[in-house]
Amino acid sequence: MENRFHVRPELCIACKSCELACAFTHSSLQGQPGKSRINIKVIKADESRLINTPLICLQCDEAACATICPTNALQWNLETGALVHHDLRCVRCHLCVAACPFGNIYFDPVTDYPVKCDLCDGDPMCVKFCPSGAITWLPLTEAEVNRIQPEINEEADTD
Amino acid sequence: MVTLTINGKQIKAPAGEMLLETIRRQDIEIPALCHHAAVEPFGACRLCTVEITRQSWDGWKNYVTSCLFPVEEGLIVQTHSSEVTRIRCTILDLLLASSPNSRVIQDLASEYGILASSYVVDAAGDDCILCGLCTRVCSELGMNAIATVERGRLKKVDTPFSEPSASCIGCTICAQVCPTGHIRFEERGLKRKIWYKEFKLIACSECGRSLKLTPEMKQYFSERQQLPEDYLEQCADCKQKQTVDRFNRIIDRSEEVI
Amino acid sequence: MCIKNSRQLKQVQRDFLTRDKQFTRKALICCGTGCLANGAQAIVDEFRIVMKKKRITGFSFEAVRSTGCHGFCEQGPLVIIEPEGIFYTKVKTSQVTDIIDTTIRKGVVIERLLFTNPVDGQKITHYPEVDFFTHQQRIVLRNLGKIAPHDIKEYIGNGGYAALDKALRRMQPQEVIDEISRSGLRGRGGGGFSTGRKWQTCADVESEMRYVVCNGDEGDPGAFMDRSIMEGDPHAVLEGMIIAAYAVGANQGYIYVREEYPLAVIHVQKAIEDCREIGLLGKNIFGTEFSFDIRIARGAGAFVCGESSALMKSVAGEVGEPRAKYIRSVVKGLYDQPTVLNNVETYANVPIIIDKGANWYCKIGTPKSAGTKVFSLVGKVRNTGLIEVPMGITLRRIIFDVGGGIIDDRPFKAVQTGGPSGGCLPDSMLDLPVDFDTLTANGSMMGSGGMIVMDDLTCMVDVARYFLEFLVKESCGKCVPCREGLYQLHGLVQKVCAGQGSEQDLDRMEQLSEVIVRGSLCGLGQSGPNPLLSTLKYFREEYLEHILHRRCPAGVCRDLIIYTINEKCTGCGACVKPCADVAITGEKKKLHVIDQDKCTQCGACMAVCNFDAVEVH
Repeated sequence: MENRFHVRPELCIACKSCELACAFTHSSLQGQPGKSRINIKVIKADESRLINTPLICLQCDEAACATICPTNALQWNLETGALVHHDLRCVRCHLCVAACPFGNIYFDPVTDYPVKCDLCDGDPMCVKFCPSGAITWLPLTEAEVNRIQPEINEEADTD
Repeated sequence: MVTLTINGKQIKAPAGEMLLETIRRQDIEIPALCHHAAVEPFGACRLCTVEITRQSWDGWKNYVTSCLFPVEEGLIVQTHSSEVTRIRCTILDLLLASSPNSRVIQDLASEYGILASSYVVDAAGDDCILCGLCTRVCSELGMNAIATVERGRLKKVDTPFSEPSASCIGCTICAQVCPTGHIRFEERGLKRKIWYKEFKLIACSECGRSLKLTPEMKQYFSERQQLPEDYLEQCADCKQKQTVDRFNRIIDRSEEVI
Repeated sequence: MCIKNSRQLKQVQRDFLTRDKQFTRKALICCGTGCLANGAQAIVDEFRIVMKKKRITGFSFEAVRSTGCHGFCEQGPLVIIEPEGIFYTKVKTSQVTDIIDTTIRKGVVIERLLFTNPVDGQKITHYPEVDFFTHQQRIVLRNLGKIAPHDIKEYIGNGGYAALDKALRRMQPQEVIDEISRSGLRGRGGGGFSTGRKWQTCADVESEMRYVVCNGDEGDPGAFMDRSIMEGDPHAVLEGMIIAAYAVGANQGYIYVREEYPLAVIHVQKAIEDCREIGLLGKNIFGTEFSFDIRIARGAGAFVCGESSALMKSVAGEVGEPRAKYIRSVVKGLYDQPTVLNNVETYANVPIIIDKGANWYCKIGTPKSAGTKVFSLVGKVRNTGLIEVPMGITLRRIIFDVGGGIIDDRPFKAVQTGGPSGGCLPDSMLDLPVDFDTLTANGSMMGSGGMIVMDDLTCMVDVARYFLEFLVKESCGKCVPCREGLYQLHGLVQKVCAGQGSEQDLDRMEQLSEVIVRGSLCGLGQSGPNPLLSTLKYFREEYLEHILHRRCPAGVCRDLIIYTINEKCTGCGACVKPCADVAITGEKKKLHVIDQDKCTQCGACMAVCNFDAVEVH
């Protein structure tokens, strides 16, 4: 059964455990943590309330980053369902970073290659280290059930 | 799938794959300076030369560049035999003589125990090793702004007539793939200079930071890759912020709904 | 006019022969590049002028033929009077009237225009009696010097396109391939690969498009075999190509000619146009279902473009750089389609094989190298020029019988075969039979047919240096061993020439050569060290002489020689003027002296001295 991320910002406590887990899983140079592919953004919703949102690649079916890549460096891993960036094919043209509509692919300042979520070979580490259940890794149907109501989806789709 | 032997170990590899990929998948380190997965193999640096033989060849051996040689059933490959190492060392020795100031060449040569070239060193030699990656990537992506001119030792990479080229879109991919860092470009703020030509860089429509893209690149690649141009207007940070905003709006409404 | 069947072809031939019979005498004027450079065109023009004034029965300007190269360029301009075959050499315009009045009108031989045999000083009247020609067997060059290359009717009149007619009408493509295979024809461009097998491989590859390409990019210094064939008998090449195309099923062909061969381009272009006009190229050749056309691709004269993959890139309009041929070009060549690439001489062999049969052809030459080979015999031999000899003939016969021996009877030292990538063979190898395998086994190669003869005044280290210098300049620069390796190798040889070499340098040369041979991408690099390796193998003592005694035995290497003036000097002062270094001083009619500090060993003084007073040490 294919799994999906299920993100519930209201549960996020911005502990950044997920970021650390990601950075250490994707160490860029020996022993050093790499740039995290999951980011917690804190936004002021209104005067009294702050909202924490973990942002992570949505593995879009028609991914803009993969479309714009002139050298096919972004390829689907059919086993995990992840759109994986292959450094070996990359020519660092910066196009994918500019193309992603969600800002979920960016440059690792150390290696100078674009980085994005690769779903940790089908077993995302960020989920394991999330203490509050803000990100969960659920089978597709279950994630579907938990999804917020249709009219909101429409709004999301139009974006 | 074909079965072959690499350094005494039996290995299966998909038919049609080049030997270099198979070898590297076995975590065997062999240098290759003119190789890049994004372009067709070329066989210019000759560093990935390996020794091949077959049971039926009666001890006869051949030396081939693994980046260009497709795997074959029953092939017996040696990646570090004494003769292969001798060829590799001589090539590094020669490269060190022609590009004595290149860090990449120096490091690679010292890995093979060569600290100084034993040939006549060209002190004025630049870092270009004529691997052709820059020109190949430029032509395979369809720009064809640079090419090699002259031949032999006079050969160099350049635009036509050493003038700004109309087909150069300032993507700097040539510089990015250069294995020795010979191709340079200047970038200050929203200005970029490469191959005698100046480019303006696109600024993020929200924050004004550089997207490291030229308008020519935006136009060329959005047409070539068929992605609407307006995808390429904001920086990753600003787009993350927008994504968060969107999330928040969704949450607010969902609370209302509940 | 369009030839649609065999009968019409025969008719054209008959018409030509009938017309030809009207002339009691014909004048064949060689208009090959060599003779043209010696003023052959002026001779032809003079014939035209004189003929306008005179009326001679059985002779008109139509019987004056500008033919292709005889190969004896050194003696040009050549004029041959048929049917007797009277052979005049070094003809001048002032002698044309005399030739017309004496020889053409009356059949009387003009003694002073005859060729003098350099061996015994005898005058030779008839052209087949000249040593240079008697020892040859002319199959590929059968029409050269006999027909006007720009007239397709002459070619047809001499039996041309009969082979094509036979192949197209009476043979299946497979039968043509089988015939070529049985003939034992091997590629004349240097590789010596079986032509029949090449065609078979190409025909067996599944593909909608196939190409036939002719390699006319002859880059070896001093070689002009292909040039002469393209200039002197372009239709033979075209006929061979059309037959090849029919055999493998190709519809488009290219002839790759270097830009330095303007006359070849003109003649081949004219030949192609003539063929199109009478329906031998284009749609439905000879009225059959088979269609094929040929275009000329002009090369910019890079030596490396003679290499098959670089040539195909150049034809396709890309930079002429070779690619690795782990997938051969016969499978994936021009525009990535199966391509048959053969050399000019190979194609010129094809019509005659089809015409006379494989059995006839394979009896010529040796069992493993059938047929003949055209060589360009140059260097220190008496008769230089283009020769065609059967395979298996010894080097000695080529040099001493055809070539007439070494100039001034100096001792023979070495012969260089195979162009810059070939090797030098010493006198102990003179009795080697010349064929593909023997030459390769002895460190040289057949190559495309360059043959440079050297005497004792040639320094073998200098020869190696010269060829390496050529290859360093001509290396395309793509792969490191060739670009940098040959350059360093050249540096090492130069060091020896300058008297600064050491014995370790010789070992280093050999080691570096091995890596260049094994590591290079294409044939240029892989065979590049050959001139060095072969001279090092056969003339090692000469290298050691340079190194240990700082002496150049042949007196060639400038840094190791000095020029002096001996007592034979008459003080004429002839040497003073050409000395660019102002190194020679002396009073008139008294012994002159060379100032060794100023002298740059250019040898100009020695060249002008009439009294053998300048010596080299």
